[in-house]
Amino acid sequence: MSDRGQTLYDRLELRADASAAEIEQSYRGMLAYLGAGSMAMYSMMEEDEIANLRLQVQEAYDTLKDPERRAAYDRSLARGSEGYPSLMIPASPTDTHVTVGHVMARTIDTTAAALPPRVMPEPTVARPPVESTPSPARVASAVSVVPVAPVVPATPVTSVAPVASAVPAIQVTPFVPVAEPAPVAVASIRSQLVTAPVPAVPASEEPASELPVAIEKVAALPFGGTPALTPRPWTPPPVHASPRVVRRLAPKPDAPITPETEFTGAYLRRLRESANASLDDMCEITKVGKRYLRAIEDGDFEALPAAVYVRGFVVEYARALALDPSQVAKSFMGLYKRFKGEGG
Amino acid sequence: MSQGAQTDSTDARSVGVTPTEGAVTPTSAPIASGVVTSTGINKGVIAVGGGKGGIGKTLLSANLGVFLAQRGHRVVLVDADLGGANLHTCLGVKPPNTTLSDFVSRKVDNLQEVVTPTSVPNLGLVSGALDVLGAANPKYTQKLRILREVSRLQVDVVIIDLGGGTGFNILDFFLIADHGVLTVVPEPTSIENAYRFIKAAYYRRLKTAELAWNLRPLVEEAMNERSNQGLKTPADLVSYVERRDPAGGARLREEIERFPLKLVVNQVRTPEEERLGVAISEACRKYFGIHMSHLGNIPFDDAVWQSVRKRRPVLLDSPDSRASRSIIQIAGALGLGG
Repeated sequence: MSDRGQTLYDRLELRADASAAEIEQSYRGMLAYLGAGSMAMYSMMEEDEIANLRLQVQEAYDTLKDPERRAAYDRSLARGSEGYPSLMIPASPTDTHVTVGHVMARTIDTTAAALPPRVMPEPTVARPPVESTPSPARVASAVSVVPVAPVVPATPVTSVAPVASAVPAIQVTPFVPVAEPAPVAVASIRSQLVTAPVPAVPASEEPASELPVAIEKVAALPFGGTPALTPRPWTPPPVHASPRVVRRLAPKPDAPITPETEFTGAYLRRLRESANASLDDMCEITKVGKRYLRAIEDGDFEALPAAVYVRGFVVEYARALALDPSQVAKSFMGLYKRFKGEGG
Repeated sequence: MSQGAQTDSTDARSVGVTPTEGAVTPTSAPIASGVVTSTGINKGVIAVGGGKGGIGKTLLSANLGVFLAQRGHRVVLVDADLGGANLHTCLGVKPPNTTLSDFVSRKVDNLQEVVTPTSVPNLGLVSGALDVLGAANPKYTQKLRILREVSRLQVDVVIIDLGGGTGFNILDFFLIADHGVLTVVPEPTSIENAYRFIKAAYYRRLKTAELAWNLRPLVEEAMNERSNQGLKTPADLVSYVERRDPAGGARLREEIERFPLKLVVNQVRTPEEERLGVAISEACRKYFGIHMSHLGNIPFDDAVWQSVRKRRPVLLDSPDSRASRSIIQIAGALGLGG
């Protein structure tokens, strides 16, 4: 039962113009047989297959029930991104070697799509063709909904129309200490910093709370006062870096993380809280259901699906906290397996 | 189904179910869905199965029979639980002198002669209380004869009470029915057996279905491949055929959609269990590609086991019980409520 080419609407057996009530109804109907406690599918397929289907439906519902996220998703669909990158699909290895120009172009594309029309920037940057493979930027598109673009032109760049190749190869370190609710892809900030193509938008149109938050974010970047002019050469992050372009949190562990550090659920929670991220933020970044995130943090192994999925969740969790995914997964899965009595 | 409709029925004897039965339909048309009888309902063969024992197959068969007979339809209950028959007990009838085994051993030629009257007017019983060793596993030709004769019974409705399991004998009775009703109880064991039953019935149907000459090898190939090609469900099988022969796949899909599956959930206690029937039929539609309509639920009701102890159908013993009312609703959902 492949989900390739399936849209989130397909997953809920809905048409793209489904009303909120229809989304709710379809989701409830599917939960009746896919839900964790339901007997309806017993023996029809393997438990982990059912769990996977459940996740896909949950993922679709979580996005479509939220008008803003749905709108962003609809726009990504309209751009021809047919399928929806499942959380089960690992980041493509080619993404590691993507040039900055590419990343930026895609990011700008994504950022533009994620913005409400009222702040849609004029196309000032020549865009190289967007790759058709599901890119990390696409993942980000479903996540980044806070329009940061209007904030940046504190340092207005008057005419920016460089072709992508002309842009100096700049990368910023992905460790961006961001304040609470700020689900913004790092890359989108980066692109703004480098090209700053967006005209200012009257602040009055913005929800009052968003503006200061976004400014704070920019201010918190490890640049000088004029970020567009003082690019810092990219240095590899100290911990295992993930090629994914997603929002990164900056946890502040009370003790340095060593290879011996044991990543229990409780410890992961402390790290998340030290990064000022709520469970909802985590859910949005990792695309893992809140129920499972909570079960991971609670060490409630009973409530978790088969090991292969849990591993995927933990890897996403670790990436979001800029931890070494393999170390975290190994440590957590050790606990999980011990609980399940599979040795280890 | 088609077997019944295709057989020549001119030699069928119009023997009434009850001794006083006189109003035989003027035409001796075989039982087939869509034929409206003198009593104004669609004739039909209803088979009740489920792949597991103790899930209410006999309860549903007996009481559906009682209800329809009370409404004036001529009904014959066939106890096809060969080897484990107890429909007569549920109806309070002592083991009849003539049973299906007499028909199988050719002591009698016509199935109609084996029909025993019951205490309910219009309701006859073909008992399967077989004492003949080996009769629980009739030979293929004998089975065909039973199937043919069941379709020729000169009544309005034939209700076949199947045994547990998914043997070919059971499946073949199930597959001649106009309404194949599955009963399940809200327990994983029952649901597991129901899915096994659905799959087995489905594959049996494909094996025996009239398929175009060029489709047959493809279907058989798909069925042989199903272990190593990941063809886990009927829907997978159709996709497999469709990829190789789109037109044939479409015909196959039609064939499957005609598969007349119905579902009854028995021993329902909680609101969640009340929703189970719809959930199962949705899951079946989505992942098996099979349409199975949910006819209704029979609530868990003390009146049921109390009536069984008295060897009386609950519909007679406790007509106002919730279980009785639910069975009447199920008859309505089958289009037989009139």
